[in-house]
Amino acid sequence: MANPHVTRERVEEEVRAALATTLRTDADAIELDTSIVNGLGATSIDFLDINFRLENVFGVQLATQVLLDHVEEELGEGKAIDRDGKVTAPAAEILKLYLGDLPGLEAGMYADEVSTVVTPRVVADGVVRVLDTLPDACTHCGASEWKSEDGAQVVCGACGKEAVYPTGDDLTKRWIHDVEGEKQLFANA
Amino acid sequence: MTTLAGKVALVTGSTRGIGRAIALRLAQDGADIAVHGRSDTGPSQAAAIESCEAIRALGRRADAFTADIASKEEVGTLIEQVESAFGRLDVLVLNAARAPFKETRRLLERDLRQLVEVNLFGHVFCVQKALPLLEREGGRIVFISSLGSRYMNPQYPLGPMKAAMEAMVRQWAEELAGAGVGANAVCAGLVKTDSYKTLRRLWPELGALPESAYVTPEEVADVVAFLAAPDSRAICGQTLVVDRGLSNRVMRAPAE
Repeated sequence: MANPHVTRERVEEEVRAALATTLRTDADAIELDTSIVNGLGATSIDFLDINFRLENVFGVQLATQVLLDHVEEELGEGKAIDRDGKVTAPAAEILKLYLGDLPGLEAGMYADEVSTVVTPRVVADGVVRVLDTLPDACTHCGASEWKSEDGAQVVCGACGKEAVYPTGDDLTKRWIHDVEGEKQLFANA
Repeated sequence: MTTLAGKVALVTGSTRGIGRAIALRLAQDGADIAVHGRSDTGPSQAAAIESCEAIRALGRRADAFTADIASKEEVGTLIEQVESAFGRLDVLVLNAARAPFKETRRLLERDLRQLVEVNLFGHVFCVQKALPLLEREGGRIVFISSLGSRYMNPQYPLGPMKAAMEAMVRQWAEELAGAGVGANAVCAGLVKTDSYKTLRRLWPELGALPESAYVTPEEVADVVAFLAAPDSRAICGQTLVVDRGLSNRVMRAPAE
């Protein structure tokens, strides 16, 4: 599935705009592969603002919890984060599958510090992941006439209601089970 | 105003949000302020420095201290540091809080332990350790609660901890009255602090509320200042709701 109404370029542009507004910096100067925390100086609170802006622009609900918390809730406490608060080996593997093999991302790092490896590209990936689940038909009227006037909000051409996407949290949970079913990262750990 | 002239106040969690507004208001009333935060790295440290500078700009003394209030040992050290820096403690404002925003059934064991250890144990440790200093001055304790203590908020496990806080303030008030130490609480309505940034994503209905439904950190701080000052000496073990009437008008929409 993909979403033909919202381009990847538009998502990246809005990620840059959200970062620039929140962090009071120049959008054009933001590199997609820079660390948002270490490179752009964001705090954990800033991520809330950034996500909130993107949710409003695209009409989506992004994940409210980080991947490792979802892993622990879905597969068992202690599987992803050890007693010292550090990332376990299988958790580092699943993080790499989810975020990409980012510099600094490794087993034994503190779970609290995982956010420091997040880049604008990772944030854009999260938005695209939700947008790509646009259903074939409108959940309100059943028509298959999606359209978007602004290239961000997708609405039904028949009833005019906004597209309803699964939440980022639901997608993350589903993805964790898919990956675990296939790779057995945590079952064999 | 000089209701707190010559006095010293420790406000937990005062590097930002409501705690910072309380610290500033008590400083305006003449108190020197012990600013407290959990962490002394990066943005937290910068926020602590900012709070101290804002207080000093009011002509009061301010020092920043770090402690995880969930640790009895760290709270002990915090109170020792406050005593050696200021020589006394008159007002203790228990504002610090830490909680995940998620459904109760999804709380991990470590979420639950942190929830209780910070938001229940932490306040008890603070009062226990500060008590010898407060008794010396006939001090005042003000707890900062929220409407989550009595109304359900989605994905807000801090609510039950605030209910415990409001129950505990009755306990403390009675126990400490003989020692000349007062204890009360302020229950804040909706305030647009950093927590609100999480809440608005989990609770879309918040977007339907008019601006008049929100309390400012300063409005909460004004009531804390009253409970910290001698004029409130006859109020004992109470929780004052500061919510612009939000909880008083359950059956009708607030005016635009």
